[in-house]
Amino acid sequence: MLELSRLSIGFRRPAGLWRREVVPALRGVSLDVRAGEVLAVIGASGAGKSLLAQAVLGLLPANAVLAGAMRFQGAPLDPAMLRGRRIALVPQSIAWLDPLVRAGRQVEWAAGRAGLPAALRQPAATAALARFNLGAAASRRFPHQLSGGMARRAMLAIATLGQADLLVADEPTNGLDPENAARVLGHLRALADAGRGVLVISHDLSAVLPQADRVAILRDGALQETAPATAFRGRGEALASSYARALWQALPESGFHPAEASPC
Amino acid sequence: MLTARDLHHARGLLAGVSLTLAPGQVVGLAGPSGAGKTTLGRLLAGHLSPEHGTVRLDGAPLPAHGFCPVQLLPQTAELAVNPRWRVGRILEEAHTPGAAARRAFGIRDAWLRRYPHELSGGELQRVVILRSMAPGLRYLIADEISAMLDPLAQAGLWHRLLDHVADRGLGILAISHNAALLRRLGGAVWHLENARLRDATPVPASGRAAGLPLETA
Repeated sequence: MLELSRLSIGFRRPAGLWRREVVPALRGVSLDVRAGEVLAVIGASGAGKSLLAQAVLGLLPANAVLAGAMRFQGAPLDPAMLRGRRIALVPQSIAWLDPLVRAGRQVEWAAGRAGLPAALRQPAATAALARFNLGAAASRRFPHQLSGGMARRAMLAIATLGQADLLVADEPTNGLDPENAARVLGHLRALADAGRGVLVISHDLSAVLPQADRVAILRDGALQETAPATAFRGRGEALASSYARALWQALPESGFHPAEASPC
Repeated sequence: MLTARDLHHARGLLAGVSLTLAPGQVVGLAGPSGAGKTTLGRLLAGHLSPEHGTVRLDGAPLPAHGFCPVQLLPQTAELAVNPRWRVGRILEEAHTPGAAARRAFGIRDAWLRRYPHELSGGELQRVVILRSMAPGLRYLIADEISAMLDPLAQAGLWHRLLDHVADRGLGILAISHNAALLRRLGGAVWHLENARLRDATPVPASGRAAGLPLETA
């Protein structure tokens, strides 16, 4: 569904008075998301995870330099055409919601973007919220009146209302307690089971492992490996890269080993 | 000994919570969102005064002025520092950590001239932890200090902290949603739910001794 081949992203910045240099941030990353699967991209902060999402959605800052190829369903990816229609973002924080507009109204906007005629938008919004256990009371609230878990579900309702084939979820479990985190990831899993492709970006390996099919490990802008989620077990013998093994062994439920030379 | 007796707060959020934390003891505090874990931590560190009940350090109330021997480490280090101060000044707010202490917490000299927003969350978290390690420190309340870190950074942070705490005989109350992490810390685990605290220490597989028993209210 989505194929990235040797994607590199750098940032142009001035070097001295006249020259400009490009600071590399993502280096030659190749990965694909298939229909019906959850692909998790895992890495420490600064590894370039969010840049991947921004590139797929065409939301990179103006000074970014992009190289390599992005293809979506066999054709070159044009984010501006597909964003919000075929590709949807589940953003990281409620800061992406309009603070002055009630939640239900914002879901209706999404229905409008999805191409529904005005008369059908409100019923569609109500149905989308109901899919994520949000009723009329929640839909009347402003974003700051929603709990973190409810806001996340409202954003899931917005992202899934249209017929987007690919969902990109940026740190969907940040700030959620384990029950709410599992619920949100369960929703994403169900969407993949219904045939969509889901790209989850997270630093929380243990939270995403139960629902992911494959896990791509990013470090300092380079892809270390893409492994099936089932490879994360035992002492990580099935993992190819030493960094993926170190990440796995550092989890409290695995070994809680810190890195030998910790660059964190 | 840090003792809380019969704490009531925020109209029934906490109703009759009592606990004892001993020097050198590491205790985990778990419980669902909104159960009052952070509020309990703020009461223990003197950031809040309980509506009813007492918090005492070796039998005396917490000092009202100066450095508090019970320090709270918050989840977001960004909100616990003055954004207009450089890291070097932040670090020396309560004491002057030497180069050896900075090395032990992996704080690079180059950071000292930076502002807080120029460090990553994990880097700033280490600065805030070392800042709290003044000579007068006795107990640490660590509120979800590693929730936003990747597994390697999380393990590194806790190993550093536990080494340091063992050296100085400090007591730690570690608040976290992560049950596996609390088990790894090796001490007792308390559970706060429905305004009350109970001992929920997992049966140690290795026969490692759990912490002191919880006082019953």
